Amino acid sequence: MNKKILLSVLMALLSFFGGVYVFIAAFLALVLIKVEGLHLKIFRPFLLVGALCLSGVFIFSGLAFGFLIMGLRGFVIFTASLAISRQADLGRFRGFLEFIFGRKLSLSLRVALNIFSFFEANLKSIFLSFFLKGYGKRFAGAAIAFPAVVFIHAVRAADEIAKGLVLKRMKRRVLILSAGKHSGKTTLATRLAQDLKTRGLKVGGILSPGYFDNGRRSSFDALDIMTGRKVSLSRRRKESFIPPSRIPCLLNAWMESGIQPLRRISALLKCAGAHYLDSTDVSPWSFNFYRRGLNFCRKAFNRCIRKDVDLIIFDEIGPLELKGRGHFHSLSKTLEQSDSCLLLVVREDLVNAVVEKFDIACYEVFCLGDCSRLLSTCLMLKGFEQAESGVPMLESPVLNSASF
Amino acid sequence: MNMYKTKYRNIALIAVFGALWGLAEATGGAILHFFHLPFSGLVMTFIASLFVFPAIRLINARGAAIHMALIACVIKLFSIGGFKIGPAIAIGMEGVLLELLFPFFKRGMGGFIVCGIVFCLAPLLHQFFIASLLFGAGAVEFVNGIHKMYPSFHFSAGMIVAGYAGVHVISGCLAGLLSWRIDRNITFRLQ
Repeated sequence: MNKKILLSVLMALLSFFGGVYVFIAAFLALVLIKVEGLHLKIFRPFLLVGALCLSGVFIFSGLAFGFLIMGLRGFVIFTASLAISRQADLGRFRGFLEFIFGRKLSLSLRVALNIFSFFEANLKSIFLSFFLKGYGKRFAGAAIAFPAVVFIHAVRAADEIAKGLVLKRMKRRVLILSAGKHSGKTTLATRLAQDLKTRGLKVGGILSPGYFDNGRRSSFDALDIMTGRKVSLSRRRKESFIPPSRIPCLLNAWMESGIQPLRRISALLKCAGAHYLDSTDVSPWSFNFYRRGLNFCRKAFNRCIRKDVDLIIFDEIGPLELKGRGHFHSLSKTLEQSDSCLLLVVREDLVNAVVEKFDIACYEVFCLGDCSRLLSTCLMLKGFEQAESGVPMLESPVLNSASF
Repeated sequence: MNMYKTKYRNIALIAVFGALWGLAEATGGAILHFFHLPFSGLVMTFIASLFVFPAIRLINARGAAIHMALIACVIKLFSIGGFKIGPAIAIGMEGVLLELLFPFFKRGMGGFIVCGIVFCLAPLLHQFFIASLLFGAGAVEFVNGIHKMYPSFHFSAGMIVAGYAGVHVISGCLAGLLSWRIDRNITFRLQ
């Protein structure tokens, strides 16, 4: 841990013991101010109180000494807070804070702990705007006007902070690789990840290569790009004569086909037959997802957030995620917390739905023919300028399932 | 993007007002406690109500009061008065009370006054019940202290508690009224 942070924590702890320890802590705080170059303006009131107390020591010795201790403790804690908020990367404690307080509250707490600089900057303007507008003349008016002035300054500061948080979110680039079913999106993403890794970029995330059995997708694996580990993510459900997903459709067909038994049976058969005609569809409901596989993906994405990689790949953001399952929480968390560029692999008919669902403000869509543009965009993340001047580019994947 | 703007604005408002509440408690509360002034809890609740009530009305989201109170608790724990857990528990309890009173904030002056009364009764509740449960005989010590202070008067314990509660209720009314005026003032200026 940073030495200055350790010193600040030590100072704050020492100051709680009282007596001579507070004086030692105050001495350490002065050293820290000198080393760190912190502004002393804010300490003027503390220094004034300290001087008054020292002059009063001979008159009311016990009380003044206690007040001096408290003033010094305030000075130490304020210095420690300023030094910690300047030095510490609170983002490193994000996981711990979220575990204790939850996501929303931990963000509020991190903002609140960094707010001393706001009070330092705004204290003078609050008093100036209060007295210059003449609110301080009448006591009754001042009782309402002063809290109102403080309140309005606080709201403006909150608006500034919120603007910063939203801008941070908007600045992140989201690349969307979109193409039809079985067109080779995952293959392209795999090649892209390999290529970028060889060029020195830190690439993380999950790829979901699929396996085929008799021309139909039978299962998916989850491949952690960072570690190269692979686990089973999902497997096609065993066919039943009446799959559960078809029950509403069958009931509907039964109800709408009238009362003649033959017509009803033919409607039912037609409906059940439609299921088999449509069975090449990779519907999320026709696959069983393994808990172990989903946990593996979640851990991989969390690792990407922690290690601050250059590009995070989310392979197969589809109907499952649109329903709030699968990688939904990992993607939401990554969008909220990570500054890395994201590559989402999405079916072309779902691009708008995904953008709307995850409220992605800044994105760029690439199709399979745009391999070169995609690679150069990714390379530019790391400032590889040669990407624009024609480095060897990726080939478009073969557009059939045999490549799997 | 509007959803995120509102969300982040709420988060920032909660952070700013929670920090403001915590700093007021950490500095003002410690000084009042140091001088052993009576009604120190009430004074701090009164000051907090002036900006916490309008803040809750401005944020207008469930959970805002509890979140603000938790942030204030964390800041109060490292106050200049030392590392004390009792006031932090009181702030947490006030946050829970405000969360329960949330629907009243939409009902104009009357709602603010009701909230003010309940909010200002929180220190009394903390002193008599929570502090008694956690740290020993808070209520009994308090009544004995009054008897020692005024030995010539023969107050019953009930009268002392009723008088004490009356002061809190009147202060609560005033706090509610002032915070309602501040809320109106701010609403006018922020438009």
